Amino acid sequence: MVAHLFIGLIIIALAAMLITQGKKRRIWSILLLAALSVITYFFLTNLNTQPATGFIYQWLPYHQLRADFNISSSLHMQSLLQPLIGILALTILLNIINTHENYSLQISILNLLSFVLLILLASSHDFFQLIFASTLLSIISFYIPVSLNARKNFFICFFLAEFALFIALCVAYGSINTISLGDLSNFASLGHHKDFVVILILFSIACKIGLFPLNDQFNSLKDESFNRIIGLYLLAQPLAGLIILTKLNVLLLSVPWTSFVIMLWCLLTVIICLGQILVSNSFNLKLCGLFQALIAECFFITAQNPDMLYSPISYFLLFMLYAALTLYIVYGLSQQSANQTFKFNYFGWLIGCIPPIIGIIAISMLDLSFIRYYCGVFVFLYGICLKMFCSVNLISHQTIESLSYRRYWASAVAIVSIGAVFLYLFYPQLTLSKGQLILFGLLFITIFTPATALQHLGNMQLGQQQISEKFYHRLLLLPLRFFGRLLWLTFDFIFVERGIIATITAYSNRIISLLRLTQCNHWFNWILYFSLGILALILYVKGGKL
Amino acid sequence: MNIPLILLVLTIVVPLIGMLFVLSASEGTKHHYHNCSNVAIVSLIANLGIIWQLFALIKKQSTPVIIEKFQWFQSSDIYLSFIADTNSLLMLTSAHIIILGGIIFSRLENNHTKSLMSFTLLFLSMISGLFISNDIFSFFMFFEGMLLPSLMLIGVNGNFKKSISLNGFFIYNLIGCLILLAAILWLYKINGNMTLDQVHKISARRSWAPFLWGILALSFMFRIPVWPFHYFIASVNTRVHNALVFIVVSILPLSGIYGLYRFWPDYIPLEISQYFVWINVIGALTMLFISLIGFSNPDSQYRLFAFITIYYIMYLLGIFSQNVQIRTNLGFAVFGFLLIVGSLEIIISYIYTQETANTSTSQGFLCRAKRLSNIYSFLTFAAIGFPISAMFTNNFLILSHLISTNIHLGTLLALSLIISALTLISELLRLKTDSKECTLGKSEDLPIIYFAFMLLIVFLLLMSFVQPLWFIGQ
Repeated sequence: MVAHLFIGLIIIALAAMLITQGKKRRIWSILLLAALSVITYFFLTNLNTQPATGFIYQWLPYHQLRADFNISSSLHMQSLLQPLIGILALTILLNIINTHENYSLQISILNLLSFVLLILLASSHDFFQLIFASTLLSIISFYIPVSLNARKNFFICFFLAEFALFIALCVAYGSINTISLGDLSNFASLGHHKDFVVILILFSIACKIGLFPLNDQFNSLKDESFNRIIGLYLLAQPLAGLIILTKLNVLLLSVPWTSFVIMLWCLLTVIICLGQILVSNSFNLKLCGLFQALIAECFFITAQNPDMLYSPISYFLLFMLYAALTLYIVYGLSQQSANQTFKFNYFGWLIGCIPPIIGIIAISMLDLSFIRYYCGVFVFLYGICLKMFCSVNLISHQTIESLSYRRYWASAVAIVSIGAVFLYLFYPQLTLSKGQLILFGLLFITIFTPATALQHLGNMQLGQQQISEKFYHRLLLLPLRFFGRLLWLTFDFIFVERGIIATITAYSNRIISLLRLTQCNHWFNWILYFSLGILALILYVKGGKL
Repeated sequence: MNIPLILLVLTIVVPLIGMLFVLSASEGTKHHYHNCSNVAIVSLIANLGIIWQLFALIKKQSTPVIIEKFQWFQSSDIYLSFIADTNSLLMLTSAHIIILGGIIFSRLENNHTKSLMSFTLLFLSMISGLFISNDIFSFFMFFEGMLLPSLMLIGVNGNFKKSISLNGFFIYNLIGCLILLAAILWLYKINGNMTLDQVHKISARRSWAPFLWGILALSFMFRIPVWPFHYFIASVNTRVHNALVFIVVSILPLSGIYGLYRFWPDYIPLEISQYFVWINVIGALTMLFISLIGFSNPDSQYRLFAFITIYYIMYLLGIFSQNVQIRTNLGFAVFGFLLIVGSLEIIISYIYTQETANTSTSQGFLCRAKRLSNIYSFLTFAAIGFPISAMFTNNFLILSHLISTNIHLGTLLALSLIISALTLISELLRLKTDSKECTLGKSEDLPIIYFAFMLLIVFLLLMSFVQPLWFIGQ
């Protein structure tokens, strides 16, 4: 069934690509959405209750390099795709209804192709399919942002991620001589250079997910439209990073320090992103910070238990879309209300009630048993939404004195809401493990950390681009130019050009000029050659007599 | 009638016939230049057809090799032996396709003079002979025979004025030629005119064997831009502004790689192979330096040259690694590699021509020239190793073996590949960054026919990834 969905989506994407790409094209986008809905209906009504074999095409049949093209129809796959297809439909709808989006059809096609590649990635059973799907997803992600700066950052960052993954799998292949993902456990137990492989894989996943400080590419989305940001976060590389994590988790577990590093790294990312949410003035940057924090949490959970990606986390992505959309609407409304001061207090109260309602609804949508197990993390996630909301600059006019009053009031709402949810989830029994308690405790403290303390972290996050540019110019480019010039001067110019070639040329010239002398019409040459001839004759005659 | 022998000989003779036609064309007529390039194109297409027939013959046979012999001198027991296997035919095919592309695009630049076409065809004839030669004499003849047309192409059509580069080119190749001649005469003294298979089987345990393999390797490495032999190719390639000449000069190192592939013995004893670590170190360091220098150099042609150098050294290290998988896969590796670098050079040269013709910067050109942008983007993605061409699988195999042999060497290699890829990416991004000073627009975009040819190259690259050897149904 998944194979039918895959093929159907490819046909829709190819058919849509045949339409002349230009501005607007909303009617065609609506038709695309309708076609998607039909295929989704057939997919959802024909879900397998038992695991199915899926589709396999033998691609490279060579004994030493056997690669197949797989589309999996497992139950895991189906539970992953159900919320994702909802995200895809909502994203395409956003592309259509966003009046500022001029290329709705193009972006919808790219979102569709991203989804198709995610299916391919999640179905991969060998290295080649994994790298192929991941790389094509990087290429698609390159075309979604409008601004060149964002495209540049995306391309370079994801290229490095793909190459790191490529090298890691090269090392694995060199040891186990097979490209099957199922045989990675052999490498995990017997392979060489496991630390190196794990570092590369972590680097690759961190680039895709956007863990600090490898998240500059996502922050460069600050000038992009909301629908493009959603598409890039929920249907592209971050999710690809999580899927790759599930495929290669056996390698990460082969090294003892991985869990600790992942936990620290996620925690650092979340804290830095909170700072970014507080410090930045742009809604898009706040949104990016929120997404990065939430996805870092998803990464942490998936690293503990990869199966979590296929059910709870995939639904959580839907919640993220819902939360982002709600915040976007709130932000839009607040921008409108900025000019209407007489409605301020009432509106502020109304807005203050929305986050707890969002939270309760979101939590009730999710699987309760899962919530009880990871409830600390999800309460924190909910807290992040509230914290972000509290820091949103609802009113642009700084002259309104009640602004600070409203913020404190909203923060109080946030704290009370968190407490209420906490009680609702934990009462009457506490089932958190020690590790979860520590994590939850640390994260809970972060919520109540004063904004000024986080401000420095946020500034560090936003200022990292300048640091990296300075590093690039002073520590890489300058020494490189110096040594390159030095090498050229010492070896190529002095030794080869002036030493060998010029010497040979000069000696050749001298030999030629000498030979020229012996061939010119000079009396000396006549005497010389005549004498040489007489000598040769005498020697020949004498030699014959002997 | 010995069909295989006829076909093998025709691969050498057809370009020569084309060359004679070109030379005999009368100058001063209205369509003189077009006629010359038309003849060259027809010769190449005919030769491609012959190569296709050879592939079909290989497919029919039980062994994947065709070997034919022709007695040349009865008295001295000198005979010519020819071979056609998948690797040699793949290299030959890619050389033909990319030279065909160079000739087609030379029409666009109005640079298809008689001398350019005739020397290109002569070069093609020599390189065809090289790839199908199976005995030491014919190998030597064609190996050195390709130097004359290269020298003439560089000197006459290279469009640069530094004679010292030509002097360097001549001296390097003369020294390499003399060393190879000494090695060939030594081999003849051992066992008469040997086929290359017999050269493989000479035991490396004999006392003189290290010296023989040493001078053979040295003579071939003179062609490969590894330090300290990089100078002549670097000085020529970075200054030439003719796409066809650049392609021809870029194929020269391939002859060195091919020579090592054919001559190198199957087994090297440990007491000799321990010296290979120096070759590995020098190769890896050369790669790293060239990649870094290419990265910092703003000239797009130099950047492409750096990329080419890195890959040739990687193939060199692959051959020295004695891995059967890499040797078997060499033809596939070179096939994709040559198509990509040749196509990139054509595009870069086209952009350079438009730049100089319109006295404009090329920054931002790809924002307006959609056809050019699509082709350039695809070729860059393929060049950096994305899984859209055979380069991906070949890089995977070579890198995985070299890393498993020596992690430090492999890491240096990977680093060089990353830097060279970033170099190409930065060039692509520069061309896609819009600039007000760029006056190039849609009218300077790639014409449809040339775009169609580039699409053919794209198709070949994609098919090489999806189904290797698809064109013979394997």
